[in-house]
Amino acid sequence: MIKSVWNRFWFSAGSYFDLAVLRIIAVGTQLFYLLNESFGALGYVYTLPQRMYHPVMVIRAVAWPFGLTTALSSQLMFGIYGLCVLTGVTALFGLFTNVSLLVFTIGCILLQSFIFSFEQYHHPEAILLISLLAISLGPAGKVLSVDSWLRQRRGGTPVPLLEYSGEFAGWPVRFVQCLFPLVYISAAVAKLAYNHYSLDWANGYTLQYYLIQDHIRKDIPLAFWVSQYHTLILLSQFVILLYQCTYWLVVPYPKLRWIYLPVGFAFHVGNYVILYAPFPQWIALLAAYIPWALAFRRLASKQVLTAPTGAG
Amino acid sequence: MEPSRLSGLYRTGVSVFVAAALAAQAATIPVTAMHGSFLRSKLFPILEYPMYAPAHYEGERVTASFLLEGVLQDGKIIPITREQLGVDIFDYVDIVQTAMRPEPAAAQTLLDVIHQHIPGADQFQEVRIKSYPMQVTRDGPKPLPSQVMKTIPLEPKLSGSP
Repeated sequence: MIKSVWNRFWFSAGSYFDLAVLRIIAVGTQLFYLLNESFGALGYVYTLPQRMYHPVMVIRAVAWPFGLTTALSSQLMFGIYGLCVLTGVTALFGLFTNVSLLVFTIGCILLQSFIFSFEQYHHPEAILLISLLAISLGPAGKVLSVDSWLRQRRGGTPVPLLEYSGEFAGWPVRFVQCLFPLVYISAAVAKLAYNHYSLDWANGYTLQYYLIQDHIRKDIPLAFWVSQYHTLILLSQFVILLYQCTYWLVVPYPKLRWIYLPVGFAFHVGNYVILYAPFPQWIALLAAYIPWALAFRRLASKQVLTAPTGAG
Repeated sequence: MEPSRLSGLYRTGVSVFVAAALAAQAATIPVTAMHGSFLRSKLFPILEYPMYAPAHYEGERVTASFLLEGVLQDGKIIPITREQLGVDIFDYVDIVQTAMRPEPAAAQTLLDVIHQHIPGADQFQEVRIKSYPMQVTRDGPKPLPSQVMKTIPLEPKLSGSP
């Protein structure tokens, strides 16, 4: 019984097109982050005092033969960086898709773990890296890839792209759909648990405080301006708490995504603009909830009315 | 190997991965619920998500940052900025907060960074950590006088000494 429910949930037919779109969005986002942020971050951590280096578990597992008190050499880490850029490009275009994806993901986890071994850590990166791991284990290069183009040159039975599905195409997408709610529940539980299981967090002053804090830290005039509107902030805090507590409902009731996705998108874009707290990885992964093949099929079969003959 | 057997093995492997990854992420929730601080980023990419979680109240001082001063033997005060120290704002706050702990070696990283980046820092008699002069009110930020939160005594090197 449990086995059949499990198999039905994870291994019912999924669209290869949806998985390929998720691959392109996820790899594209991580590659952009790698080129835009990681190179600078990697150079920066080597300027910090060695005593700030406290390797996290992934780095401990890799670095123990070399010793855990000194940071891994910059030649090695920049070498891994180069490999990540290379495999990121091949994964994006779908050349040797699964191998490229796996090397890219493991390399990015190593790089980020190394950067986070210097005391501070941030939250946007992890969920995309875990999602990439799932995508790399699925048939993510079956369509929209160089691999599929090469495969087709060798022949086969033609199938409409948007209707092409398989039992193993759906699970990576569903995995991302299930991972997101766990992260939001964690965020909501923290807001309650850190404040003695009260609703003190949503008192208006909390978010005013963080707006002022981030204005001071990052010089954001908009955060300073918004911090003066107590009542508006108070209401937005209740909306955030409600959103994070109930986001999991999109898994059993997928139609709710048409409420939660726009709210989530607006929430993360708002965070970016007002607090300069960029979570582009999270915004990108919201794409996992969109049934791309179905949407394109409906769009393609949409009938439009032509203008009446003679009308201007 | 037969395709059906291969497919069964793959299905089992995926099931193990999915169950392990989601269970690991879910297991962080009770840690957060207990307000435990032992996990944090240790198991990255499995993380807790206590972003902006502690509540704050009206009139509270905003500890977004700190002011640093080096004091010379003649009493002259030299302001030390984050930009001079060459660290980003998050590391700056972490380093200064660590320096305020009571353990004797707590300030060592801060002093290392100061000595590395501030010319003449070896002549400081003490380093002062001051609070940021800002508080939160219903109408937004309001100024609040800065206070010395910790003084770290130093032994200045005699000029000409090696």
